[in-house]
Amino acid sequence: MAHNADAEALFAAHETGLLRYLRRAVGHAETARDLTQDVFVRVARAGGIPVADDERRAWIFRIARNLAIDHRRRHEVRLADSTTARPDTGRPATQDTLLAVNEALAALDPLDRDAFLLRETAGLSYAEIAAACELTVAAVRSRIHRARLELRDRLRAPIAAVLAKEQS
Amino acid sequence: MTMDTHDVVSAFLDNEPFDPADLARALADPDGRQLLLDLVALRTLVREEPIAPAAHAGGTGSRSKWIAVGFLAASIVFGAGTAWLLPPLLRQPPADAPPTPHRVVTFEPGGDVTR
Repeated sequence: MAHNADAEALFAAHETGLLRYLRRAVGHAETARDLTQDVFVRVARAGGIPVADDERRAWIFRIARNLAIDHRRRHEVRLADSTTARPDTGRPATQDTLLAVNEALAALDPLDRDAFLLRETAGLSYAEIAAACELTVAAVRSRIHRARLELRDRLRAPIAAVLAKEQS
Repeated sequence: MTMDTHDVVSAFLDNEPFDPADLARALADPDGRQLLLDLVALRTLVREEPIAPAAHAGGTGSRSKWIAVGFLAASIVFGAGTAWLLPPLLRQPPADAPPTPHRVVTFEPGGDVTR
């Protein structure tokens, strides 16, 4: 068992990043909250916590990533249904944008998506992402790059809307 | 080693090492500038928080909430069960006590005791 104070401090330091990452990784806010709690349980039960800061971040996000992968496996069909069933009207534009982002993320290669999300939502360095996803730094760079270009292509309209809002 | 436009813009956005000369070259190109703007906007989109809770999307409630409700229900059942079962158990007579009478016979003066 990890020392409770260490586990709590580690969790408190990364709770927001974990929640943000998991929300995009599973596409569902409540599930992301539950999985964030599961991360804490696993951290608390762990035999030991890495000492170095960058190792700790990589370690805790590897736990989160594994939980997200397990969840996606269990709910693959339902998630696919929820992302494709998109109503045409009656939803505010921002909700449409969020759905579009979730759809675009869901269409990515899973490893590309994880590398991208760990960078964009949790702020992990390439080296930390490499450790969390068991990749080389060069592979991380390449996967993030590929994910960005694909998302840029799929989300042209929402990106243009964000830029227009910034300019106005 | 020179990095191409995409690599250097990504490295700049991600606080990874890059050569400033490569970035200057990338941003001198209109496509490079547009790429930087697009990727910043993409980051904004991905970090955006939903207005309403996404509970509608998956059709499932919070597990924590259901655990709390389950715990509360179990507490109520346990409390009611304890209140119902405990008093009779506490009233149990000791093992060597005489049995509880099932019929009480009272003698009245002048009555027929043979009946």
